[in-house]
Amino acid sequence: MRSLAACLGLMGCVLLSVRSAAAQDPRYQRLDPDTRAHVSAVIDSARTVGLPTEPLIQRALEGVLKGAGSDRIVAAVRRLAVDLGVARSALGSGASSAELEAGVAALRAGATPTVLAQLREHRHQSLTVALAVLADLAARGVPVDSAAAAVLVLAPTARDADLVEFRRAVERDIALGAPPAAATSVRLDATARAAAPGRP
Amino acid sequence: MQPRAPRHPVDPSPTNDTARRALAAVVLGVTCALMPVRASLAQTWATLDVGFSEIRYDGFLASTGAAITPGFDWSGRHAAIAARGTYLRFESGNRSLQGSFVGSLISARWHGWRAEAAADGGASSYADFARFWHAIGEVRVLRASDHRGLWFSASAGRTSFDKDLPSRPLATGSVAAWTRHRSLVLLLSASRAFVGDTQYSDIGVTARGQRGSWELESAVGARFLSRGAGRGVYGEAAVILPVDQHFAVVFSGGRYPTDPIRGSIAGRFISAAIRLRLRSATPEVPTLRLQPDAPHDSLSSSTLTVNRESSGNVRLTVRAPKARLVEIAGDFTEWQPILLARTSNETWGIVTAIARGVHQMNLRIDGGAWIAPRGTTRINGDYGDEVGTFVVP
Repeated sequence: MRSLAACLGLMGCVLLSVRSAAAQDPRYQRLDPDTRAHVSAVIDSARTVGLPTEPLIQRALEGVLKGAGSDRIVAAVRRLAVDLGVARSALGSGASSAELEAGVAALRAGATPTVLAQLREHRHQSLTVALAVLADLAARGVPVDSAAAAVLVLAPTARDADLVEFRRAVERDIALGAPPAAATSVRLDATARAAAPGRP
Repeated sequence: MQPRAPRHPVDPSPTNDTARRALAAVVLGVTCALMPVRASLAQTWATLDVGFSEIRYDGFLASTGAAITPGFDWSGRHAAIAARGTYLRFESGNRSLQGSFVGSLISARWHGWRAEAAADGGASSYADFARFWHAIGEVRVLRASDHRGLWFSASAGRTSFDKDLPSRPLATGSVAAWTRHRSLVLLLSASRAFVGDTQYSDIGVTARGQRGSWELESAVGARFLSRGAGRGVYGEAAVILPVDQHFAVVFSGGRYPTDPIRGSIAGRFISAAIRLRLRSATPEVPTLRLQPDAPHDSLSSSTLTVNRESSGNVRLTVRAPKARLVEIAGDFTEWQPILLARTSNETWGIVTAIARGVHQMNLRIDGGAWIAPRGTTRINGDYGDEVGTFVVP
């Protein structure tokens, strides 16, 4: 009996928090009531486990803009919440919201959680741009393992600007006809290359 | 040829070291073998080393010198050029000048193989009494993938060690294989050379890699079956410590063998130098450029450019020829459509606050469908359409 009461109490709290969250954020008003309830539940669950909620709200709002149905919006938000959780497991609990979003993009591009964890290990600066570059390269057609290897090589020392420059160079080469994997390798060599030290 | 007086106590050419030359060839080979490169892939590097060295040639006292070494490399679609020069002034007051040039042409891939024809020339002088030169033609066939490769090469030419003596013919043959794992390149090479009545064989292992921001390079080799070019084991290492994008500190040292082709004698050295290095600038165009034959309508040719303003805000510019109305929506607009202002006949724009990170967006032209414009990375969205992503670093 006590357990039942506790469950009911918990459910009540959840519902209250859902209503509270939905009531506090005017953006929820763009969702129809049914969608709002489901999306709010997912978002509050995410908040409970410490995941960033803003990307989830944005995903729901994107669905509204594009006229998606309730089921599709809820599924999209739920899928993103799951992916954010996977990204956080790989990147660590200290990962920022931007890093997690970039991590999701990389995961969806085909990178494995192991690669994300290796990036975290190798790069002590923010991972946002590194992960975005990884996702970009994969989206351009670079095989994911090649893209991951390239970013992992650059990750320890390259600045964000260097990574962006690297991505631009690869992108431009691909646009002009170079095979994606080859363009990446060449740019990687060019970036990492230094003239051989001279002997006296 | 036995080492004799240090008639040419300076041999600054990076190309006179078999291992280093081979490593340079790896870079060239990888660069040229990997792809049908377009002209846009051409890269140019320039370096200038200024430093001091202590050199001890075999059988002679150590000497200290100050050196200035400019270098230039260019690699393009089917050709590459490398040039080096050195001005060195010894503590004795004697000076040395040296210059070398290597140019090569690389064929298109044929059944996984490429051919390369190279010309290698150089000249040097020490004080006012020693002059040397060499001229070599080399043919190489190579095969390479992303991570490994091999080649066979043969060369022939002439070299001169004294202005009063006739030049001597030379011929070499070599085979090498390399592999790359992440930032580490490992090269194994073996060669046999004939220079006049001198002949010798070299085998070597060269490694180049990175640890943190440090760049490391080392070579170990052995000379054997030698007549007139010495024998033994040699090795050298260098570490490059970047100070910033353009400057680095270079420490190197080791022992290297006699080079009968270019006129240097065996010795050991340590050196420290400041290196200025410049790389060809990459155009600031941050987006994919239009293909020349791309249809020129608004939908297919709309291009987004993202630039951060000095104020910290971000300028979004859309090139949309013939468009009458351009709207943008993304996670930075709460996915609410925002009308862009026309900034020229073909461009539309807005300056707005956008946080650093990865952002998603779509574009709508003249009230049509939401699209992912060029200049963004197009990904499959969760709503059955394409979404454009971009990074604000």
